[in-house]
Amino acid sequence: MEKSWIVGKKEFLANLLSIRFLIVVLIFSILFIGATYGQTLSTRRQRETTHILLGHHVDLEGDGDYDDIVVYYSDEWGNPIEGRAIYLHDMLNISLEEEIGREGAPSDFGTVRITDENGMAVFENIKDFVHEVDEGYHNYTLDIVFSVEDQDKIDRVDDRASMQTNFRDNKSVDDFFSTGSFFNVAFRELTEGASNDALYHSVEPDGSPSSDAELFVSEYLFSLDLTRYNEYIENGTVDPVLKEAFEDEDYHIEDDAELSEEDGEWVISVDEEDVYFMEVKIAHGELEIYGEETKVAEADGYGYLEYGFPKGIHRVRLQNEYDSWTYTTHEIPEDPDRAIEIDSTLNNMTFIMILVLPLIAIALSFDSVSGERETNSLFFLLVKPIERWKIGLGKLIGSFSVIAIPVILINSISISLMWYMLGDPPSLDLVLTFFLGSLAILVFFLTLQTILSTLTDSSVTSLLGGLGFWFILSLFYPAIEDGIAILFGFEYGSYNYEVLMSYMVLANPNMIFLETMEIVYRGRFGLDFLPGITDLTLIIAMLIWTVGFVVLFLFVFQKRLVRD
Amino acid sequence: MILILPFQEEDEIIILATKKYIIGISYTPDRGNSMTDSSEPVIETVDLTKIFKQDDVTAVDRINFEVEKKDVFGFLGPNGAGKTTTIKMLCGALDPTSGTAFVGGHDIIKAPLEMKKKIGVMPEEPGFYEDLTGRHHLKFYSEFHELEDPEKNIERSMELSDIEGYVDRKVKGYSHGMRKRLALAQALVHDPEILILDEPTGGLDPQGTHFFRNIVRNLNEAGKTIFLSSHILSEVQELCNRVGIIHQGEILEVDLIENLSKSMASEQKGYEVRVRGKGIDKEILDKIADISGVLSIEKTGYGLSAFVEDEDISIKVNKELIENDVQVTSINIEEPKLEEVFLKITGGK
Repeated sequence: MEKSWIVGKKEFLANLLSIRFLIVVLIFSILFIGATYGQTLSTRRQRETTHILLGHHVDLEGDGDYDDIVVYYSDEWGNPIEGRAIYLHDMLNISLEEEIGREGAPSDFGTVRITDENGMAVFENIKDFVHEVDEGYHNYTLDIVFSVEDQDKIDRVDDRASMQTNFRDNKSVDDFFSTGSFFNVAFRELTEGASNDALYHSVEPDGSPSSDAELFVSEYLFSLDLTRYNEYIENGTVDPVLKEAFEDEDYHIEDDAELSEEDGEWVISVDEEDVYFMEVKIAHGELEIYGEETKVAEADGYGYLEYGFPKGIHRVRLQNEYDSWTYTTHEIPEDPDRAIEIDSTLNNMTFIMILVLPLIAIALSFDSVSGERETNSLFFLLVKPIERWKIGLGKLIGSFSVIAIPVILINSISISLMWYMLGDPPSLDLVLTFFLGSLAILVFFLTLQTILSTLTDSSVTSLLGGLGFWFILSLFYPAIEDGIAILFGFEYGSYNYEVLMSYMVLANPNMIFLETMEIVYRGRFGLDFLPGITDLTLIIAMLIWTVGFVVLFLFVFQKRLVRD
Repeated sequence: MILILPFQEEDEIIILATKKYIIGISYTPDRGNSMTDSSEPVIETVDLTKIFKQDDVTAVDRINFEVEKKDVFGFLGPNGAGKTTTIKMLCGALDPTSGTAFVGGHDIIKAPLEMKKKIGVMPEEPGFYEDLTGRHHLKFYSEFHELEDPEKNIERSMELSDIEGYVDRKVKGYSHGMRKRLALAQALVHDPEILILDEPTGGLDPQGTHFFRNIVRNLNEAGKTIFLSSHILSEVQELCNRVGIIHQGEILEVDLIENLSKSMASEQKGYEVRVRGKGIDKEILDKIADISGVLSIEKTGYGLSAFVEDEDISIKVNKELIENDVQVTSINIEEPKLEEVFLKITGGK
């Protein structure tokens, strides 16, 4: 080993002093830190523009359906208010029983089958469809989400794509439901000009809708939809005040809303003539929302909070003419997505890492052996009293350490930048996984490239070979996975397809890195996945791709260093 | 360490030293021809063979030869004869297809590491790490050997190779000659017993050639065994005491240079006596032709040229010329040259 260190030191020094190393590290730094900055900036902007989402959930129209009033406030506290919206939305009233049908029965949405077989619930043949209306269209998609009390029981959740889940520890479906957990089935309604708002119904184990758990969530706002308004007119359920407001074809609440400052208070209100439900005041660290309810005496509106609040607000009051709700800061729930956003940013950097890091390894090691053959510097190594495999090990040690140092440094800078820009550090377990994963990927690609360099006669061939592997493993792999699934005849989204995908993860260190990050990232929600694959399997697979691969390399090096 | 040697009047002691360091002391008791008689082989090949399977070429075909201690062994052959392949096998840079060799007493296949400790090798075209300095290289290569004082060894090898002036510059700025000297320094850095030099003067200017020839002589005098490959006949003749001739992968001849010359002289034309003078006519030519030991004679523009069996015959030729009033300006006796030996052995190919 001592002699491997000698070679390693030389390799380290020769790389460190080369212009190529400087250029490659510089490009890597710019790419990776730049990507981190962009990604973090995007997260920060997203956070800045979605600070408040408050909703009132009331029956405005008196038709028995709950409508939602949502206030959207989009700037940091203390800054001029730039964006605002008042949103009226009719809850989509679709009976699961009608649309999905009982267990096993087909419907336009597909088939729901909840079975205890293999501890799995399966929603089959779920599909999107477009429901034509008189004007425009409504595109519904079906999401399956899970709201469970004991989240550790869930082993896999995937929305839309696969609609299936495994339960951990072979829990039966009955066990699952006996704890009071329930499925939520969300209809995602995509109307013109809008996106991403979802309506959740719960479903019982037999596939029937649950009566006691309904929740509406809206994450994105859009302007009023004339199509929907026409439906109200046709149904004769429209509120007279709304009717008046909508009579104007150009009616647009956003346009009509006003922002004014009165005695140091910012007030958002709609046109005074049309003020019928909402006013927002922000002053002296207090955010006040007043909802003037309509003529429905029996309306029992309630408010809910979806997002966190800007720093500086210490009290929030929600009220309508029937009731008032006041929250002080210690009661205001923290933004539940705050930590997720930071970790999500780091998690997203994994994709950049598996694209860029292999290129660094390739660029700095493609001529590691072939180049020495070409310049004949290998000759001096061969005539020194050292075993050939030790030369190989030394080369790996040297090139790994010289690249690992900037990788660790650049990772640290990137994470610090993320921390600085977002105000909180990412989770330690995710950071550690990111570092270890990066280094594992580095070991793998260095070893792979050095094997190619040992087996090929020219550095150009070695370089092309390395780039080919990079293309397959870092860029083209999803297509290969799908191609293999087609060869086996596994339908997209089927259980067999998911199992195959899991095993395909094991065949690519990049994917192992990605999925390990995903598991750690999502692990906090108890939502890890990969059917048939345990966390330990992933770790063992990564060890094989790194340590095992190095051993294979040493064998190849010993046998093929000297070419006949 | 104090070494007491039993000196006699005729004994020879050579001390090779730089300004700072004693490189070696050679003590040669005058007990006959020490270079050849009492030495043991330090390089010995046994049916050493290399077949390049990819091209199906037999580069070296069952060669057998020995290099004895303190020899300067010239490994002679035209380009492509198998010199470099043989050297690569001898120093462990290439695996033989069959056969083996013993270098420094160690089997190159069974004990390659022990063998490599005893040799210093300088390839024909040395390759280096362009971004490292000469000193970096010497430090790196010295670390493979368990040296008591590596710095001292490095300094010494630098001084011997005369690279001190540029050893701290990156190799990428070195000329061909500088690279050759650095290659020599790395070969010497661990003070090996055996030096294997592949075309050491190839591509060098006259000054560089002179330097390398001198250092070969000095190192040999300091006790090193030197295995030197070359296709330059005059160089081998000048530097080596023994020579092996390789041609098309086969060893054709291994012998002392003087023996090769003698055998050439006896087998073929003998020694050439060239006489420059005036008044040589046919009668005189006939008289000289009658002298015992004169093999042939002819008239030339400057005088005459005769081939004789022995150098002493030239004295009789001179006497005959003087007795016949020929004005002799000069008489030269030419030994058969290695070039002629080489051409004869290789069949002029």
